[in-house]
Amino acid sequence: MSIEKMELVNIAGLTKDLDAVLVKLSDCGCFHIESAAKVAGKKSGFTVLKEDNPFTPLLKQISEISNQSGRKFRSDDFSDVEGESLAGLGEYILNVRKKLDEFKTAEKLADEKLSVHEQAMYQVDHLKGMTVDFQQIFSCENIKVRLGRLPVDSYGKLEYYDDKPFYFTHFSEEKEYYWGMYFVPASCSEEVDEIFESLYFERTHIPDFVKGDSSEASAELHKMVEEDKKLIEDSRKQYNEYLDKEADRLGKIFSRLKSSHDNFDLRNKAAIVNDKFYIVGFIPKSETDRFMALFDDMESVSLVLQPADANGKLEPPIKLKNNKFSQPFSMFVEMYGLPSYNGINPTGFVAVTYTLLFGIMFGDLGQGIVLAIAGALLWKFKKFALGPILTRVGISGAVFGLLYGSIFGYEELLDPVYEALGITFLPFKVMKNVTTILIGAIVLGVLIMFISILINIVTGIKNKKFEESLFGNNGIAGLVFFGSILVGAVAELFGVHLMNAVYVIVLIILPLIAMFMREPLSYWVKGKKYHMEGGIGDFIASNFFEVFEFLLGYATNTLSFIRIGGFVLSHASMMLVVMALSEQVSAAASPIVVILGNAFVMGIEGLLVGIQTLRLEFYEIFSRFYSGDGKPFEPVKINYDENIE
Amino acid sequence: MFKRRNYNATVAKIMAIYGKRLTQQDYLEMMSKQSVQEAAEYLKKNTHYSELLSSIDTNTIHRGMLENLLRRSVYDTYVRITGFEHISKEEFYNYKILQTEIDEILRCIRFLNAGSEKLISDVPIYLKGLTSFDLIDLARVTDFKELLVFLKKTPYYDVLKSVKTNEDGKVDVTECETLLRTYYIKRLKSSLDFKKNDVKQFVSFLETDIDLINVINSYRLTAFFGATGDEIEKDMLPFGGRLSPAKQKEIYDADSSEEFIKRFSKTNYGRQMIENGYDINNLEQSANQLRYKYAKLMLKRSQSAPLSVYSFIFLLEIEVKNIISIIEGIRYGVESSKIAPLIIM
Repeated sequence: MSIEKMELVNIAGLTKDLDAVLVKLSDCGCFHIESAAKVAGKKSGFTVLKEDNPFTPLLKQISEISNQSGRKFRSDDFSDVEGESLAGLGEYILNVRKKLDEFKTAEKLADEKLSVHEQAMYQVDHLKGMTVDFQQIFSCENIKVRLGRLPVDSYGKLEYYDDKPFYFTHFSEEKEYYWGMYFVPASCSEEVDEIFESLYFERTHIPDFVKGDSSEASAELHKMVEEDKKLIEDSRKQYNEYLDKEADRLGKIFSRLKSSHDNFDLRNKAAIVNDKFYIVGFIPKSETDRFMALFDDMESVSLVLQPADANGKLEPPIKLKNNKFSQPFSMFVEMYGLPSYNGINPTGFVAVTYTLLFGIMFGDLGQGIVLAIAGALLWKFKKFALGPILTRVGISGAVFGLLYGSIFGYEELLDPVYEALGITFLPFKVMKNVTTILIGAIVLGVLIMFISILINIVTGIKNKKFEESLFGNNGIAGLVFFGSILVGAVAELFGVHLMNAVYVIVLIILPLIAMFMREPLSYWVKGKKYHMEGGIGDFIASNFFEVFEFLLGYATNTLSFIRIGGFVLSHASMMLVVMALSEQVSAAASPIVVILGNAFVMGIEGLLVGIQTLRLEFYEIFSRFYSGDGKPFEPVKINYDENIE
Repeated sequence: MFKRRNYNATVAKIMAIYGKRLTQQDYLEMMSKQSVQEAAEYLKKNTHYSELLSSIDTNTIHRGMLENLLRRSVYDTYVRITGFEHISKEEFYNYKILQTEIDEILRCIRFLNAGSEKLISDVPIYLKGLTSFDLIDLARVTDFKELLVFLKKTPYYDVLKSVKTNEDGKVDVTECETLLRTYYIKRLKSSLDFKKNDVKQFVSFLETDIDLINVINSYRLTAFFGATGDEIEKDMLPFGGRLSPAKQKEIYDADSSEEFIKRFSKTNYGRQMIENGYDINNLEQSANQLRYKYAKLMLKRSQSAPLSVYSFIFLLEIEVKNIISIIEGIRYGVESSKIAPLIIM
């Protein structure tokens, strides 16, 4: 569980070989590329290639087909189309698009017809009950008839026009409209039409193709709508059939173009001078031999390996090395931020503490096993990243459940087993040992804090960060101060008087002064002269408050671990409630209450404990020794995403 | 009864509805629309107006109808919240009807003065039977004398009988408005039958609002009609708020709009506008923003139903006005950058 060691690789060669080199780099899967221009500098004569990617337009066209059809075009083997020219591929894609557009146009036309017919059907359906032929109504010479809908509010205003020569009648009502028609003498139609327009009457223009009375017209329109729908369906079917036929070739072309496109994009990472290129990047040390062998057949290309930190302008990327147990927990570490190259990989520590703390809080043999199985299934079928973590913490919960003697909330089931085995100190009954649980939680918390501080001291000294590691609150001074107070207090509890003047001065006051003076002291250790910025007053004020914050931090951080005990008790209490409920219901309903209760407690408690443990990891542990400012190791590779920038 | 109960459920309901109000993002989205129909569709799909517009085909909706629907929604909401704990029978809650009656009479007077006949299309017909006069018959009135006869049996007759018509039969709308609004405020004040502290808070809000309405009207009279201080004073609502009579006189006496703003900026309200970053040169808009702010404050601080109802409906009306401004802006092709300053929030 460490950080993968890296090598800085400098690659130089002739520009004519650049593309071939880039293909090898993206194929190898272990090369983290950096911008060579950054290393070469502006004055070195190197330039960066600024070219339009020639593969982008064609890729965009396939991407459009992909977006339109909702399909993904991809093929692992595109050797068939590798030799084809760009122009030839472009012509093929254009033809495919033309054909697809034909189907889409046919569908669109049918869709428009459907919309017209549906609209007419909707209107005619509201006129049901009108048994007169539409053609007859509209062919009246002296009377004009207008069909449509009138807002409910406007209907109430019609009485205002009592003196006007029209008659409105409605066939049906909706929430906001009256559907109907008004009759008006042809000679007055203009004035009345204006009135109805001012009342927001929405006129329905029955299309010429509608014949007969409302029932006949409705039946005819329903038939037309069905025909339109069939037409649309046929067009879609043809579209899909054609695409099915071309999908394989399109996939090969897309993959081939995308590979060339992404490799071409890498060209701007290279620096060019005359007819030579220069590429720089990192590879994991373990991959060195395999990587070097890739270029054996390219004589013009030379590779120079250097230590990862050889160039101050380039920060080595981070690849965490974890064992099988801790691997899933790297997700949490990455969430917080990766360590620096010379830092430590905290994944193992996180894996152990997270599993332990979760198990303690979630202790139940049955629920733990269920959680472990659920995690395994989630990983197997859904590749859910939390799955393996659930499996580990579930097993931990089961182990602690075994110690607590708790199975799905039944606290007495294991008692006979322990009795038979002659183990008298187990099971450890949670609800009968509340004080022990809470004190145990604090002791565990203090232990974890001590380990975190020790890690900080070791890494700080290794990286020559003396201020933090020797005199900081998470350094030796802090450790001595915090440890001495705890030891002294515990000794007092047991009647041993340790807190004499020498103890207090040497182990408590002196470390406190060291923390107060940590900045000048660290300069002194490094042999440098310290300049006080802002004057003595500013120095005292700022350090006083910082040290005060440290002291407050020790107290709150320690107490923060009480939550471990709190959740042990809350889990047991919730299960007690479930059991009490199950006893109050009928014998038939009791198992259902137990099952639902267990599911609820597992869900809610699992979530809470998971979050709280993560909180402890990030706030009480990571904050003591971890900065998370490393950059991830990202080897160059072809990204077969359809979205083209 | 009214004094004894708190009607906390009504207050809670109001806050729940208020929580669904339109946000700045909603206004921006609407302003970006190209047509009234698109804006209506946005309202229907994304806001608390979705139920109101559920049976409306936004593709064919007319702007006028949409505006009427939105205005009606304010009244529907008012009925909904006052009906929740059956408080609508208290006299105070008649204020909404009173307000609408006055608005309709004033609209009628404006139409009569303008000689227009389209009054009927925007009549709030949903209030038919609730008002003290028939709204359809009001729309049939053809001149001011007829209006007075029509209003004979209502309290508005006494309010308007002193108004003189000129030789064209037209009347001074500002005078009518002052008389009617004064009557409204007096009626409102006489109906404040609730807890002493709530009455105090409500009166303070009302007086502040009157101050700001007076500022808006006096500014208009100065800027657009060049009215003198004395002319302005007689058209103002005669209720003092935080502006002392001497201060009011000083502002009304300004001989130009610039001087008016200069004098007003030294008042408490003027300073608040500046502190809040409002554009004091756009006085009318800034005053409305301040009115909105005070109503919001009253709604948030109040635990009393009448105060909550009044301030909430006030805010809702402004929301509807904002939507109408946007819809009109879209209809007449106004750029969104020019519509945005009209939005009050």
